[in-house]
Amino acid sequence: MYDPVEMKNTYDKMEHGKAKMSAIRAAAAEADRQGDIPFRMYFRMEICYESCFYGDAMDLMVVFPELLSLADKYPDTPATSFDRYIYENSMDHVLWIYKWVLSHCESFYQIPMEDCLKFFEDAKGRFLRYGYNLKPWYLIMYEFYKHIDQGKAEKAFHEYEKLPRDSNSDCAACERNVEIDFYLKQGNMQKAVALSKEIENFTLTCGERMAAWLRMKKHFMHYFMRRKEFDKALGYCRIMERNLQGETEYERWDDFLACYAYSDLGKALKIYKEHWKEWLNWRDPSDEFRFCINVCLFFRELGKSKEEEAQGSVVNLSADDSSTDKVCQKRDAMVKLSLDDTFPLYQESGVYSIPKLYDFYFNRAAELASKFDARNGADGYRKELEEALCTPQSA
Amino acid sequence: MEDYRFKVNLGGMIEILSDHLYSSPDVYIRELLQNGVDAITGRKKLQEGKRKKQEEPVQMEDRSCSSEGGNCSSEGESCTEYEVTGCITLEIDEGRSLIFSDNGQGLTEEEIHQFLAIIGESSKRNLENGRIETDYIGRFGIGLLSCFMVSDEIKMLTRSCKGTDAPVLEWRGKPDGTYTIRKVNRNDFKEGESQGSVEAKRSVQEDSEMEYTESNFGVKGMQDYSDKRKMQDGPGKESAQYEALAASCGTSVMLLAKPGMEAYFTREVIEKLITYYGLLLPFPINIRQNGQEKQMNPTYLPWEGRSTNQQELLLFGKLMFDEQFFDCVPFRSEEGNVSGVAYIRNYPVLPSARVSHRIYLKNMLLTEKGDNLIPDWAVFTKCIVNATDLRPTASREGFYVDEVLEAAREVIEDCLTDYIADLAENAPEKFRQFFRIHQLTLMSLALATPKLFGTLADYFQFETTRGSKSGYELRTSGEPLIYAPTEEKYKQLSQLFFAQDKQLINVSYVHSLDLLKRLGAMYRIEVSAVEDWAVEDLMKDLSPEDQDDGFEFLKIANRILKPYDCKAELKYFSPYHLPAFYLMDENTLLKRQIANSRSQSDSLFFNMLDAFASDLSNERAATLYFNYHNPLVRKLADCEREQDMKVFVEILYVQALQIGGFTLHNNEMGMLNRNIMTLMERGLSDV
Repeated sequence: MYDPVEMKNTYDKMEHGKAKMSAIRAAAAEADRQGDIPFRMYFRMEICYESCFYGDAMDLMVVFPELLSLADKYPDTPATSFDRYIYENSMDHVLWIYKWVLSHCESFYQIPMEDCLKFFEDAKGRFLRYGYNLKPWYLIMYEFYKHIDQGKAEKAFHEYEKLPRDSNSDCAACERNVEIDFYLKQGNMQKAVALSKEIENFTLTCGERMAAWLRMKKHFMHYFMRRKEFDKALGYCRIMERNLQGETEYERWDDFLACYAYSDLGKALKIYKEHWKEWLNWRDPSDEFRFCINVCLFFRELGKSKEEEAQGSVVNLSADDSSTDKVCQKRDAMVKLSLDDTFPLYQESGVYSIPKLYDFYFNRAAELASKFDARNGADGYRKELEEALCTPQSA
Repeated sequence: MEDYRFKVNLGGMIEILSDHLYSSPDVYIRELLQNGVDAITGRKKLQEGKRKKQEEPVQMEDRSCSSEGGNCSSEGESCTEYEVTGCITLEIDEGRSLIFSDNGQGLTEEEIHQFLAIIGESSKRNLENGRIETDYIGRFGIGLLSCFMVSDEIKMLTRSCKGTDAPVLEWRGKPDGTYTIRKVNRNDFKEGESQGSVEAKRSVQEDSEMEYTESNFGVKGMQDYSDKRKMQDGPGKESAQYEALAASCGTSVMLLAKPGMEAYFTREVIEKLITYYGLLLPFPINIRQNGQEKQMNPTYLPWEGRSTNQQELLLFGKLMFDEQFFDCVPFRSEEGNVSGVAYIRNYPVLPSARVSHRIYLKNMLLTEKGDNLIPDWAVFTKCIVNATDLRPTASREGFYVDEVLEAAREVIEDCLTDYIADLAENAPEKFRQFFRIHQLTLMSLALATPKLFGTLADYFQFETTRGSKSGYELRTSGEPLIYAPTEEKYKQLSQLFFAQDKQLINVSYVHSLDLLKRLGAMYRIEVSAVEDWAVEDLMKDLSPEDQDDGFEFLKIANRILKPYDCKAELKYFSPYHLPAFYLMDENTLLKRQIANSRSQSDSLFFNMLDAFASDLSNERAATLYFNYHNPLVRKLADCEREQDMKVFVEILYVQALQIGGFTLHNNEMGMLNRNIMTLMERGLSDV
């Protein structure tokens, strides 16, 4: 018997991931079959939410057009029992989700710039017609232009600051986090710290108690990583690790990998082994770009450490030991990894050349950078790659 | 240039406090308790300071409590200041008034002006360096204002212990911001309310060795540990308070219920609030009404400093939480000076459940939320925790997350995990019972705690194509652990695997995948998601003769299926009754989803969706496997007319999609309907 409430209760108990997404899709398909308009929309909203916060956002981008189309076709659809206490009606909820879509336009190089701008214009019109102001719109515009055009990004941020909050604004804690990120990128640590206080003492929270706090810590971690102060970044990394509480949104394992690369290579190696496959199959290309950079940082440090080990063993050999010559010959530092044959450089022996691994991820990052820059008509990604890394190790 | 002062609208301030800071008028009891306890702490510190200066102990007719003329021991006996033990008394006039008395340090006139009448000026701050003394519970100097939520006037009688000649002072404050202070003497009270000859006798903490019975811990059934006092009626309460203070020091706060707040002045409510906020306070809290007095609290922590047994602790837990528990685990952390008991619940709890603990700061209830202190996975417990050295947040709803708190949490985690490990090793039957109740929670615990994983993993159940299997059975099966990552995939493939007695594990349940991977890592067993090649391995290639027979059919079938991005294959596989099996990879699934979305969306999004689709591989990665063991497929392979074959191939294609749980596109459903109609027409025309 069709029971959307039961379906929701069932998948709510599941962990975030493929299985849960599959269950939500099944619920949406069932609602489609039953012609239950409110739940056809609601389950699609759930797919969007799951994808945006616990996935790679691809499903958000694919499903949202269907959702918007349904909302346009049935504009007076009431909210369901699950969201009526938050949203006036389904369209209200859809407009909220439109913000997530706009936030992810920059992340997918596949979306032509012209289309990105069309989406922004469309959303703008809808917000205004619905009676909302453009405070969140400007904030998303700032985030969109961060890697494309600094001038436009700053202008959008200042427009955001001028407007009052309304019910379409993100929560105060989320807005505060974007402000913190803005000032950190401006190099204004003092202002960023001042803004972070209310999040630090949980006066400002978002949804789950630790959400805003973890996001704030992430911004500071990224700040120190950009400045290559990995020892300071590590402090934030550790505090995030200890307080994740199962919230996968904050499981920045690639960032943790880079931080530990400078202090605990063993731990970093463990992280790589646990997450390489997930990173390989991640469908958000801007995330993939950053995964690749962090993995490169890791392999570079791992390679250095292996070279130091090798040199150390050379020093310990006696001068007339005939094996010294062999040791001194330059050869790739190697690492043992249990990867499977889905990995493009798969070796049955399980022994991999670190420089080759580095080059693989570097080339992937470079390829993504060129795709993003081509779409953006700018060079923000190439610069980011250069600032983070140097030329390929094996060149 | 003139200087101006900010003015505070006290009435507005009270409204802000009651609407935004204090969750309900209940908290007035908490605030009074807080101030009382701090006053007693303050008095003890003063006395300790004097003792350290090696002053002569002051002989005075001191009372342990500022009761109505009562002495600390037998009548006429005096006690030294060093022997002062704190005491708090609440005298209730049912539904009308409350007198809250403590025998703490009291206030001088200067202190009243400074701390009572300046909002935010806490007497607990070290005025020299602005540091707040950590011994005190209250910090911010606003607690007393909470009384205005239940009363239109706060009347206070107080006598400071600083100096033997300190007068008794009366302070009256009103919500409009006005207050009066005056020195009072017995003549200031109405005639007839003369000094009462109260035979109050209070022995505080006479008996630290209590016998615990269920009735001891029940709020209603708690025994009277102090002597029952018979208070004489007659003397006005205010004059009685005066007399008590005149002989000692301390403070009495008198409140009259304002209209609508009478319920907060009933014994039932006050007892409930005392139990809720102050059950762990180290001083006796006495309720006095109609000449009868009852002590509300045991004055010590049941799990500390004495040989409380398991049953007694469980009874205490029942008193605290009003439920029976499976077991209890005491713990103590030097970091943060944290101690308490974790009670194991007797029924299953969802991992996402919100748990109400009792977290105390310096013996006063701080919060019911255990965030950051109690491990998140410990939803199967309810904890009573008392902390002395953790820092509360400004809202006093939790603690600052710092290293001390994290160290305390680790100790609590270790205690609980050690308990589980010990139970598994030393009490297997009890452990099995515990596991049955809390399996879901234990899954997340096992994942969070490597040292416990080995103990628990053998007991977890997994759904497989060979029925439900335990972790032990899986790890000793001797074969790799292949799983289907989603419910859909499991449904699609389970027929094939079951028919061939191959094991496929369903990990679409909470935590199942992580547990399985960890199990594989621990016992060095290969764990992997079912791959397409593994599915293909379940199908055999046709013999050369059958390949020849099926050659034309395969060619035509591929042509028919090309528009659907699908290729055709002929194989042998079990179960024989299954004519076709559809398999597709992730990219093909995404392509279908994109196509589906495009068919329903506005043209605004077409470019984006097309761009996503074109970014995916162009190879046909979906395959429809025709089962050459199936008689229908063999007949189909003999079919000569492509037109006829098209109908059947398309029907089998859609049927395979449906069996596999795939969402059909509109054109696919249309195709199925059309073909069924065609068959029906043919069938009817043959009739």
